[in-house]
Amino acid sequence: MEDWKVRESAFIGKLTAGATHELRNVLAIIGESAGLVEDILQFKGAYEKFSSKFVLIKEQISRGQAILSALNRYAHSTDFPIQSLDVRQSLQDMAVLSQRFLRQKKRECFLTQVDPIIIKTYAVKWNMVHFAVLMSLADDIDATEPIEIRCFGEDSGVAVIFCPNGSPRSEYPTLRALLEDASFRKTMALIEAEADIGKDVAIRTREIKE
Amino acid sequence: MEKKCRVLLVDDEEEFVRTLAERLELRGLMTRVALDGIEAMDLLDQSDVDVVVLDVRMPGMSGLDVLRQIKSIKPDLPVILLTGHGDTKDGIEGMRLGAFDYLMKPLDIDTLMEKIFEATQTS
Repeated sequence: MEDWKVRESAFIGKLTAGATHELRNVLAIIGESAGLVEDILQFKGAYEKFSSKFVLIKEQISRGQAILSALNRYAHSTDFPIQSLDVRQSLQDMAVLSQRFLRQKKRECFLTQVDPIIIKTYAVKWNMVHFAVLMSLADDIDATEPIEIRCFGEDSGVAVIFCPNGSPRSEYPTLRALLEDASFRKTMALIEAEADIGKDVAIRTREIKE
Repeated sequence: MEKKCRVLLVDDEEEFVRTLAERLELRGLMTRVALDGIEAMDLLDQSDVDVVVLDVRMPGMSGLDVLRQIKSIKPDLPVILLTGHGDTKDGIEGMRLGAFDYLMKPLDIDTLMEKIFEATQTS
């Protein structure tokens, strides 16, 4: 029996992965069609009048492709309950997929010093935990400075460090409430994750041994 | 007169691949289009091409399956793979199977032209 027929997250993941693949093709066709029109105008010497619009089309297609690619990989994290996770790629995807939510809170995040690490874990839960921590942290900082995210390998896993560049509003109340939530604690325990809160917030995850 | 470079484009997205073919022809290349692996192998059997541009993700015979077949009958024919943005695994696997290189969609037409030129110079 295929897993997606019996497991809800795998089912949603399968549909999302299929839809994002189709939408990437839609953008590719729009991009090539715009490119062909651009070519024809260039050969006829009438390109200048439209050049800024072509730049805009290309920028928006790139933006759409980046979002769909990130969502497609997130969707594939539902394929198996435990799987190898490319941590750097997942954090890059988190940064892309969180943009809209962070923008609504007038926040942003960026990645620095992200080691290439692959760990075996509950991939969906790992993604969910880190996404939730980022969102909660965004609620707890006043400043409009971005949240810097670093990541490095540790003996038996990985540490992701969220560094708010602004001042915390007070002791991170939203984040602390999240970390005290029973369901969230259960998820953290399942992926063998621990949180360290100082000025920065570290989430340390150990690799799952099957 | 300089001989035109002959390119076989293989992709199941018909609108995409036919538009790409038009753009390459505007740049002086000769193109043939196949919408799946079987059609691609038939075209390779019937006509000479200098380079193949092959999408990795296709229903039925995948791009990597097509690549294996091409390499078994025409090992020197350069094949450039097209992968989804960020899907480097298939591209790396394709290189291991003998692909000349891989490019990510969305394509930059000038990069594709350069890669086709490089492939035909080294084959």
